[in-house]
Amino acid sequence: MSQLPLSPAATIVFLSAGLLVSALAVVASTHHVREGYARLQDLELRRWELQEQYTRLLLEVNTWAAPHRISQIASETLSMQVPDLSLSQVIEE
Amino acid sequence: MTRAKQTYRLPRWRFVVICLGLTALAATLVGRLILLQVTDGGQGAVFLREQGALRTVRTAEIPVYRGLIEDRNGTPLAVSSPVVSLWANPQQLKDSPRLDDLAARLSLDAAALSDKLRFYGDKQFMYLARHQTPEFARQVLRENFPGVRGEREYRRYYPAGEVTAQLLGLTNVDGHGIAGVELAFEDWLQGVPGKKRFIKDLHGDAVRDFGVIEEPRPGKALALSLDLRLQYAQHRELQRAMKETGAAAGSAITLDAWTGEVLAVSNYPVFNPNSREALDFSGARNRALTDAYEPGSTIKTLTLVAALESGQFHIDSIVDTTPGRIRVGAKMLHDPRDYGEISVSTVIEKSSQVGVTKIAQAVGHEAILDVLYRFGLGESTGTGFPGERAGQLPDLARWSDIEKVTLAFGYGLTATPIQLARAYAILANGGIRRPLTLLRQDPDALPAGQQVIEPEVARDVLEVLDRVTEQGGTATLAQVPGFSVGGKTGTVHKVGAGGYLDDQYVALFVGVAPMSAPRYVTAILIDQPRGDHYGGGLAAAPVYSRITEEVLRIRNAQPDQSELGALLAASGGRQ
Repeated sequence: MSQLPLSPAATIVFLSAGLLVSALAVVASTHHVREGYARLQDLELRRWELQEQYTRLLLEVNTWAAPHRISQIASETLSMQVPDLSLSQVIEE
Repeated sequence: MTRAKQTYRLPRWRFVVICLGLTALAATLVGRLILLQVTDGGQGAVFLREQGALRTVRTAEIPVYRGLIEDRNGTPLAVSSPVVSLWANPQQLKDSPRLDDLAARLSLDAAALSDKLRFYGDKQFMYLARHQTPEFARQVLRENFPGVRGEREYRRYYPAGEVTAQLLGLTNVDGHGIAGVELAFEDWLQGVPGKKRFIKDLHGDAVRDFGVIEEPRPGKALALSLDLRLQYAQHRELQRAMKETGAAAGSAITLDAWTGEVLAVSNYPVFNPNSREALDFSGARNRALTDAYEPGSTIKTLTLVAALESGQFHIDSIVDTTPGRIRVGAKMLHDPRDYGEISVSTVIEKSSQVGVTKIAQAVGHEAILDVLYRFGLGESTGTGFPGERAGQLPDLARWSDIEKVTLAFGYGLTATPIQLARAYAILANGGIRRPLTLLRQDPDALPAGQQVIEPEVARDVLEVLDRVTEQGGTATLAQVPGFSVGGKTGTVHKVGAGGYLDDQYVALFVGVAPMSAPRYVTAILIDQPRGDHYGGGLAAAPVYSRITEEVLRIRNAQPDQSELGALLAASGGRQ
């Protein structure tokens, strides 16, 4: 005990100050966790909503791009047709 | 007075007793506190912490989506989309004055809803409406009906609808595969829901998260061998053929013989997988894989294989079919007319009963049966599709003369359309048999095939098949402009009560294209075509032609016939 660099009274003051600081730090980090958790929940909700949107758009794209719709528009609206073989040329690689 | 002045001296023992008493009380309290807060035994700290947690900490499932199913080009075929299922705590909801309001909001019958609530009155959970769109669910939840909550779930959508319905199958309302590919690859597609622990308040809202206990593992995506464009084209042509022939059912399947991949498979009747309410299960069967039929004359091709292997015949050997009929046992077999002396090739081109009978008698039924085994008949094709049938080969202790011969015609055995397509794919693949698959294959890492016949035999057989679709053959309607195709027709009497039915048929066609580099095999089956055009050459071959035209165009095959082919040859292939 005689090796203590500080007097007993100073040690007590020092430790008390340390205790106070760490107590405040606990409060601060708890607050941080709360905030972080709220943010996490927001982001999870956002992810969910984005996924909702993504699958909806995916389905939409595939509805618009359905092969039967494409062939219908090609033949009816754009008057396209599969070229006759006599009009085709085969190019070898 | 002296008495009053005299100070009363407390006896010392009383002071000691009081002190001891107070100390004992304090010690008891402290001891109890230690017992409750520090020690573990009995109703100690651990017990209390558990009890506290039981009342506040909840474990929630983190829903995961089911894996995407896509075609070989990455087009999505089955997509899991987030939805919200509305549920209620009946104990909180059953006496609410806003019950009618809620019922109207959900388009439910108010009386039925309150009956249901009374029925589940002592429970804490009851579904109100499952799989609602997130927008709608949010609107309902915003109105804060007592005890009404939402639960996140996923629902399966099939963008291609009925076109891929029978192959993909279905999931049930809880997201588990119950049919088709959804069932076959359930373990792959199905994710593992995660678990997280959190503290919730009185309103059921999370106030503190303890973190994830189990990471959610979403389902993995599955790439099928299917080509959606091709599938659409095949589906369209098959539906059209059904309308034109008035048939009861039909199937079409296209394989890539080189890789063993199933490129397209469609059936009639169909069903809409996106409308669970109006589900008709009669259309749910993938007949091309699950229904076995007698294959009829399409088997004559394999009889030809046995004939060539025996060494007794080559394709130009002459068979005498005069006088156009032959007696086998008690039965007389007829050709449409007397073909006279014709080559083995012509026997197949004309599908001559007499010619095939003579070949079958010369080769023997054991040799034919052996070829059928090697071509995978009576055996599953390896797709792993739920409910796939393997068909049957005859397993008789004693063979009568007629049974030995009808085997060569494709009677007395059963096969599914996919098995027939596989048998022809072996021919197209130079005699190498590969397991079939519904999954996209890496062309550089194909599973090893098995050489089941000599490549020379396969080449000779294909040459004969090529002639079947040419002028004079039974399947001129199978021709595809610009390409040489080969195949074999089949017309089979349906079996009903009391034997073969005279007026009901199954029309078949199995073909290979293009003959310059045989790769795409398509099998067509039309069950009960009506009218005069009931035969394989009239009912099934034109469907083959239209589908194969699309196959060759979509798969970018090089034309090998007609003016174009000639032009190409003349110009040395360069323009």
